[in-house]
Amino acid sequence: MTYAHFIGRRLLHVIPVVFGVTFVVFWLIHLVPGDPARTALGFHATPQAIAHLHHEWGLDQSLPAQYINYLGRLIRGDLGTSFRFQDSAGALIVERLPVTLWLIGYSAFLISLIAGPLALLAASKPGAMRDRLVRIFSIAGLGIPGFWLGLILIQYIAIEARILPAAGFGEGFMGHVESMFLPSLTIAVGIIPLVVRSLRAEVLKVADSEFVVTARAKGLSERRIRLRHVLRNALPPSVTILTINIGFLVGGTVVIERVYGLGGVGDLMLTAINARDFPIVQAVTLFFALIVIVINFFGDLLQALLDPRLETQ
Amino acid sequence: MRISTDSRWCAVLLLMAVAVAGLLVTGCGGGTGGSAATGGGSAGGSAETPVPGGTLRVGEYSEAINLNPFEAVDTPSEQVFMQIIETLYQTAPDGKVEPVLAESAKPSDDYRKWTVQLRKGVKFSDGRPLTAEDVVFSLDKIIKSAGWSSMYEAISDVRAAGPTSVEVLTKQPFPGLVGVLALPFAGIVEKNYGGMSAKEFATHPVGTGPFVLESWQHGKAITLAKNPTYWQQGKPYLEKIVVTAPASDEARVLQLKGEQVDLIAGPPTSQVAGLESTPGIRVEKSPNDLAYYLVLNMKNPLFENPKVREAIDLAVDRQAYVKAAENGVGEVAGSWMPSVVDYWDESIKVPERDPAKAKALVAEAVKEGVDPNVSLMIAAGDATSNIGSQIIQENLEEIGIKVTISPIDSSAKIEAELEGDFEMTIEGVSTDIVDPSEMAGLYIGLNAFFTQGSNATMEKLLGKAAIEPDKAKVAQLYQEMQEYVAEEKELISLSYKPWVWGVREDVVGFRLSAVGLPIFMNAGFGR
Repeated sequence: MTYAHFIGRRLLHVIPVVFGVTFVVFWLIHLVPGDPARTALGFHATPQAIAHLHHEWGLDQSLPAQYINYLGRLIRGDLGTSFRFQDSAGALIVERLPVTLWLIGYSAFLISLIAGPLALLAASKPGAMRDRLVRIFSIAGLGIPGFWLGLILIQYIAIEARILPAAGFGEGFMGHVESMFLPSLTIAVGIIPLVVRSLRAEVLKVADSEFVVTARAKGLSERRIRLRHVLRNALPPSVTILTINIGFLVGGTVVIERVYGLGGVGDLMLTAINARDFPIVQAVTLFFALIVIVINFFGDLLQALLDPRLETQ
Repeated sequence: MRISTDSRWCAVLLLMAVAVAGLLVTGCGGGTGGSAATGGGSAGGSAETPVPGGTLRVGEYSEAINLNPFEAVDTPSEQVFMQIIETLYQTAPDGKVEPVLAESAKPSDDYRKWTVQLRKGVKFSDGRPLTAEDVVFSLDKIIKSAGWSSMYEAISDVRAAGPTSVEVLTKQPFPGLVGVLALPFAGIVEKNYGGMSAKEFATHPVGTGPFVLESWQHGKAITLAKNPTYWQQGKPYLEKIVVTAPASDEARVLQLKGEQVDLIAGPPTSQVAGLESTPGIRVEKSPNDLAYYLVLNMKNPLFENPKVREAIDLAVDRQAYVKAAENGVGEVAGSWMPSVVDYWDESIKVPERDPAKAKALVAEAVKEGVDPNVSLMIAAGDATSNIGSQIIQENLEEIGIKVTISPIDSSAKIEAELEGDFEMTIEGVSTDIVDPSEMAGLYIGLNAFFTQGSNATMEKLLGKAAIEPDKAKVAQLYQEMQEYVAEEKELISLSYKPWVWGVREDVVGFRLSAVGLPIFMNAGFGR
């Protein structure tokens, strides 16, 4: 199978996933009690005004009819119109997209930057102090809740030490780098341990394999063996771990955006859930699903490159 | 690690580079335009007259949704558009209703026709003069609005009686007109929105107020700039106001402490004492505009028994509720109306706590056949309700009523309350005007404030109060309304609370109206 086929097949997988996401989200959010028209019009609104708004928003139709309308609009590329903002859901997401993409990209960058060296450090001498320290750090990282870590970092690094801003997105590229460091680090700390553990285990496994013994017997340098042979073969499973965890990372942005007062897509979704702004909830969930799919797609692609056997399977 | 020269590597790197570049470009493009640096003087300025200039950075509860006053119902939108769009009357910090765009309002002898004289020389920020036609258009909009029409049902017609004179005709005598004109949502805008559609106006509002909308970056910030042609000479002092909505209560407080904003709306009660003791920060409070209740659903057989209602009234420890659940920010309530409203009856007091008597009453009721098990619905994630409900649970268990706490998300909670689909709930309300007609109307409109009890008495009393020109008699009628609710004990008053704002010390001249709305006209930075 060629590389193009591989990509094509992966892209085809996207369709049922997207369909499944629309189905689950639509029914879940519509089955929860709560009336968006009441939220929009307040306590003083008359029943007539509420009924009028239900009609205007199509909420007086049956749920299957509403779902079919929603799918029809989606196929035409229309994500729907927010009940609250009376603006297109797509536009509202795009307005808030930079914050969330920065958060995801920056976290992924920090994870790669920290997890790789830590795993190699731990695997370089299993059982040694450095290995134990890395493992302790990993367990601590896994155990700390993100929102708590966020509040602690804000209190000590932003408010008391005044090293970085307490909240917000910042101004300009360097402003974003500065302002988004703590939120991205908060997300990264929860995911780094998973990557470290997997990469460390793989490095140790590969280091024991026969071809490494052969390489040593051939007289290759230890440095060349580690980087060219061991790491290259240990990377594919770690890429999988990293891309699978992108799902958690994207989910983590919803909470961390709240903690750091970042008005991103996750925050848009939380307020939309509270206001029962169905089109926004549906659009954002779909958008998050697509991000996870796209990142996993890149992960598969990268893995196929790292491990040519996958291509032919 | 050496990079393989394999061509597939190049393809992937290229793809990833494009993705990363895209990410960075969107990121950079998303940055806000101008810097929102604090202007004005240094900290510690206590002078009430600010130095002209400076940018005030405000952290709101949540983002404004709609700046068209006739379509909005939410407080964050209201707090922004009221800086741009003025009303005929407004509520002052001392609770008095004072004229703004109106010069005077005179009723006919039978109170069926009011003649409102407009202030002369007022211009909209786009330079057009304020005319009677604009007021006719604006009042017509609020009277027919989906969110607020119930407060203006008495009005039958609004017409221009001259270039700066408007006549308001009513279906019945309406002595309380001026009170309801102070609602910030009854803003005065240009006729036909100055040529815009209602939707366009919602994002490009124009008014006669001290500030104009400079920009609205959705999801980020609303920037207001000084209206250079404002009719009150020398005001406002501030050059700009930048309104953001930090995503959570905690983030808002942290931004105030971190000097990223100069003032914040509604810090959580748990943080108020901490803010008060933080150097460089002070706390401003409005009069008590909010009231909280334990709502008993009268469709539940348990609460049909008056002994049970009396027992609950005797058992609930309001002192503990205010101290623990509201962190001492509020105070124990008396009348069901918040104390800021006109004709508030201070003689109504909650009873002295008497668990022994309450227990005996419940025991009698149980003998009469009631089932002393009840669920208490609260808003999930709300710290006040969470602690408050546990206090109530303990108080009621002490007298023999077993309470199950059911947290539910706030939208679902409101729907359940409107449908009467609950047993007990904790709910609060605030008033937008000091005229008590809004509270009384709300009580009736919400099925005896969600209790599903009878509205008949309240309707009769409010019907009389609405058409009564004699203030002493109006006071008497509102007193009767407050006594009625206190005696029925369907709505158990818990607490009153002010609106609270956290303010950096260098901000001077900032005031809250009696109903908790921010007044920025005299605000600025000290020397």
